[in-house]
Amino acid sequence: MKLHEYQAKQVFADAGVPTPASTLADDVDGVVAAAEEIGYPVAIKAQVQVGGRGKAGGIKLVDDEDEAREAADAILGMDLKGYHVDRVLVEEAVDFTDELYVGVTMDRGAGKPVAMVSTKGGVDIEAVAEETPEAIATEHIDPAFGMHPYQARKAVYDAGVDAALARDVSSVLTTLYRLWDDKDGADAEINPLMVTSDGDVIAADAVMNIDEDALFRQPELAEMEDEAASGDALEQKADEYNFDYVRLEGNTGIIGNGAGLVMTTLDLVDYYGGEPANFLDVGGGAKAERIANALDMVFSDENVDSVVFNIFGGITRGDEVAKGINEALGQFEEIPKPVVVRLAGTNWEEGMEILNEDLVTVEETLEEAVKRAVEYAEAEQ
Amino acid sequence: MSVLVDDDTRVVVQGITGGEGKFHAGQMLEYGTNVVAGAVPGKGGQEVHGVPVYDTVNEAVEEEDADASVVFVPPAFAGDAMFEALDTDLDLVVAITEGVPTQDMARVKRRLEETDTHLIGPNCPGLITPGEAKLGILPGNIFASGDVGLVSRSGTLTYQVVDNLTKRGIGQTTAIGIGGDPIIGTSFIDALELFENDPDTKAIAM
Repeated sequence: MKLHEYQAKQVFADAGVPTPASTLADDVDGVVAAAEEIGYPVAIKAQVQVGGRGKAGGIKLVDDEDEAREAADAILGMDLKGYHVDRVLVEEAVDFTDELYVGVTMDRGAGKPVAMVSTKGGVDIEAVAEETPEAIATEHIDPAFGMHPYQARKAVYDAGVDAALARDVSSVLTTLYRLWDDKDGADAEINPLMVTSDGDVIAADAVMNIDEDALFRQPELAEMEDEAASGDALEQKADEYNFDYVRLEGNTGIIGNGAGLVMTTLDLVDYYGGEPANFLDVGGGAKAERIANALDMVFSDENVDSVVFNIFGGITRGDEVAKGINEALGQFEEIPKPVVVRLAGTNWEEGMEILNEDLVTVEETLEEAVKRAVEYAEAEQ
Repeated sequence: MSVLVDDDTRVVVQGITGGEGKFHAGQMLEYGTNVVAGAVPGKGGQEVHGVPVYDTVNEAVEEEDADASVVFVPPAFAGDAMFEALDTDLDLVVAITEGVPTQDMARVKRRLEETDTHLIGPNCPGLITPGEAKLGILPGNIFASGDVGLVSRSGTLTYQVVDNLTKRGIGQTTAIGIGGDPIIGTSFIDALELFENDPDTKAIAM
């Protein structure tokens, strides 16, 4: 889960990281009022979760009310890389001399957190990592002990941060690690951490992504989750049902359990000359209701001409899947599109008995099931 | 021969009184696995499928001489359950649970380095030595004994591959689902080393 910039800044500020004065606004008058309060010049920043907002016209620096009105009018309501902008952050413009980078993330390969500092802030840090990896000082943290104070200092000195700033930057990194640790962060970063002409540091941007699997113990962060921020209607529906769902261009709908198996099904649909309409993974242990939701999900895509269910039960039981399919299809006077089912693994025989063959086509092998679904999809066109 | 599990493996099921734990403990027993104990805090003294339940893993290990555990504990408590298992002298811990917070796993992995225990998972289907023992949720009926070792991150894709192997008359020494999470106990490389040292494994599907 990604926090918005304004949310992450609030979290950082509450923990004592210096941040510029700012106010959230959702209309032009609100922007002007906020700017008057803060004092010009201010930056007006679109609050959408995409990178490269500045280049896409989502961030503007303004010196007076006329410019503020013009910029607010342009940014509010704009479409930024597929996201509708309905809120902006009005923020004190910082008079800076230098831009640094500080971040904390999980190094999956090492299985340990890693703290990072660079004097090449203000640009895409992934590009820096690729072109000049030596420009980023890294320090792996032992999760049993957390970050020792010396490790923050070491990262800062290794990065070549000006000695006069070392104490302040170390302090920001220490706080950032503590937040990442306390709040189940996936990534926490400040880019840029601006150095002001007075020699202070201030967080001009803020990124905080939270581990979805840990939201159950981060209730105040879970509340910040912004459902409206995600893409089109189908994706919102997938969010509501909590499915891993990706819409694709084709007309053969696909439902399966396990990402690997669903991807294999996609490949087979392609192999037999069909075009996948989607990726939908119901996950492990899906019960009847979840299976019914999956069918509702796929039928909601008007491009879908047939559906193939590919379930290989481990923790998912064939009988539960069959019940869900019967329930979902039983609600229709007429089945909207042909459904092909292939069940294997745990309780598959019970499942096959439960399935109503008046409603679905049952195939024993994955290959036959996919072939049949592709044939149906072609016939519907 | 096989790797990690065989018909001598003595299994304690952590979370045996929960829905999934109970169902799959039954399936494991039916397959012929020596499920010798369950461990669930507050449920000591009960029995599930005739298997005695203890309050702690340590008690289960001491009383029933268990040498492997399978974790069916909900994600919020799975990290703690893995620590509990690692603090006994079990040879193998298999964590089935999906959705364990990544930071919990970083700490478990750190603890794992101090022990000689193998951890498989989390977010995995477990492992099976066909005809001898299965620890986890894999559907036993699709496997056959043979000389191919199998290792995969994906659960259900493992089943699909095994199904294809078995139907073509190719059996397996042991099949291991290592799990799909960012931080897991056993990597592909670890699993390949185990198979390499097994004289009966002639080939490996990865």
